[in-house]
Amino acid sequence: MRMRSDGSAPPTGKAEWLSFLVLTLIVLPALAVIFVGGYGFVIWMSQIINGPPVVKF
Amino acid sequence: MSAKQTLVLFWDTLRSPPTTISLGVLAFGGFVTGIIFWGGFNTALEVTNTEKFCISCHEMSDNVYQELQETVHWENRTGVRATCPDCHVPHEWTNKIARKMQASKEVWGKIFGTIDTREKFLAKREELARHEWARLEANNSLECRNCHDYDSMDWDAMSDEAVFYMQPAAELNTGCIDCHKGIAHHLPEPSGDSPVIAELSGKAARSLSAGEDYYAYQPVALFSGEDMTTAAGNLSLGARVQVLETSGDTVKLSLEAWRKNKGYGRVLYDQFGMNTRVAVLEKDAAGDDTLVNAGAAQTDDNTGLDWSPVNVTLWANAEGFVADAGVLWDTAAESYASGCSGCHAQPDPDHFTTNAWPALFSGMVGFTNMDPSEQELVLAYLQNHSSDHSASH
Ligand code: HEC
Ligand code: HEC
Ligand code: HEC
Ligand code: HEC
Repeated sequence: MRMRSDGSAPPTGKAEWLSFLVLTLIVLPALAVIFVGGYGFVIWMSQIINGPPVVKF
Repeated sequence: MSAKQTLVLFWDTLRSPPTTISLGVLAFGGFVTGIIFWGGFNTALEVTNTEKFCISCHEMSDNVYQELQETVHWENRTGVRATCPDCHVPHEWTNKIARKMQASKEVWGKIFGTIDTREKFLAKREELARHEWARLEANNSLECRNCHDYDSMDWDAMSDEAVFYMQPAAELNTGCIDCHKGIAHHLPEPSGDSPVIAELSGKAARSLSAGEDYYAYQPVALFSGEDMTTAAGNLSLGARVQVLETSGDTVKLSLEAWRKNKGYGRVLYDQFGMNTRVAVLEKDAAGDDTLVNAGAAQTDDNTGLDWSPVNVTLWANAEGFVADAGVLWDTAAESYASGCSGCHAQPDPDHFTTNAWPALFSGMVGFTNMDPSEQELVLAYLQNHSSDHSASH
């Protein structure tokens, strides 16, 4: 078994489950929302600078 | 455990292979939460895309929603309802997300009460409407065309007026919003101060000097005496006057013009036989020989009317004039180009005569956003640059 960075014992099952749930239920969804929101924000800002999207038929 | 230690433990746990949870459980857990997240994300997008959501704040339900109910898009014989997002939210994913982020600003406005009363809404309405017009103009009325399509229009079923305007528009593929503003809500009340006049006032003559010519850039009130008590009429936009004397804020003006020898002769025109209006006088002032000095009459063969040259001497406040007519016409030309080029290339001013322009212009100006002062200025520009004024004709 690998040594921990601070030399402590390997994670317990409890810590592993907690980390798994925090990651999948909170951290990753939050990141996804931030990325999509940030993307929308960047487009919005670019539309303020370049004007609204132009579509010609 | 301190926050830092917790984070370190979290990070270490994430970095190392699992010791107690099986790979199958992890993969399955990630898969299921992924599905739930994606479903939730789209549901959230959809919920915020319903009319219920749009009108859940009273700003919208008290104002635009009430107005929509008076229109054809609320209730019609075909039973198709246009909801707020049909017209206001882009359907393409990228732009939809951008619009949603933009709405976060509207939520901010809601929380801090930017438009929490009808009065505040009406005051802000023109700005909001201009944003929507700009958007629909740029995307060539894409949202309208999700339901409407020129190719599917049955011209025979339409009113003559609609066919007259829309068939050429269909050939040019003009966006619907160019002509159909205020289709779903009341139009904004035109605000008092015209942006064009405001721009010109920045270039106004600071002080007037005797002996110089000036041009009115806004309607200037005229008075029949230096005491400025008896109103004598108004100068029209573009009128040229000569300043005779100045005293403080008051100037004595001379105006060279023509009038038709018909009625009281209250309307004064720029030149013989030309319907370019430069001033409208009060009845009393128009009949006062000490103020209005008329010369020998000439007959206009086109109309059979007699016209007399007049020299008018009146007083006004030293406000509302520019020293250089070029400033006036440059501004007007810009307005003309932006207001009248949406549906067809704007005709050269010298393509029509001075007397033809007023009727042509008034038939078209309803399609533009020009405010009344801007309209007067642009018409004066067109008349002053018509075929009668250009050397080549
Ligand atoms: C959800 C689909 C939908 C959208 C989006 C939509 N419309 Fe309509 N529109 C309709 C329907 C349905 C009617 C009524 C047809 C009928 O006469 O039964 C209508 C009628 C009209 C009329 C005729 C009005 C009258 O008094 O007869 C005009 C003009 C019009 N729409 C313009 C627009 C414009 C401009 C937009 C974009 C801002 C737009 N529409 C967006 C569905 C839509
Ligand atoms: C050049 C200006 C112009 C453009 C561009 C234009 N319209 Fe019109 N439209 C009119 C006029 C004028 C009328 C007749 C007066 C009225 O009903 O408001 C009309 C009438 C209509 C009517 C009612 C027709 C009838 O007689 O029942 C519909 C529907 C309509 N327009 C839809 C559209 C749609 C959709 C578009 C964009 C694809 C569009 N219009 C673009 C000027 C225009
Ligand atoms: C048929 C298309 C259509 C529908 C449906 C519609 N709108 Fe609009 N809306 C417009 C257009 C076009 C404008 C631009 C201003 C104008 O022409 O009146 C506008 C302008 C606005 C404005 C800016 C202020 C103003 O009055 O100009 C707000 C806010 C607004 N809409 C909210 C809503 C809400 C909320 C709903 C649903 C209850 C809704 N709209 C439904 C077409 C529509
Ligand atoms: C919303 C679209 C639209 C706008 C904006 C518009 N026009 Fe027009 N214009 C038309 C249409 C449609 C015609 C008719 C074309 C035809 O009959 O072939 C027309 C025709 C004309 C004509 C020719 C008339 C004739 O009898 O020869 C003149 C001149 C004209 N427009 C001037 C203007 C001026 C000035 C403005 C700006 C105040 C303006 N237009 C803005 C749609 C528009």
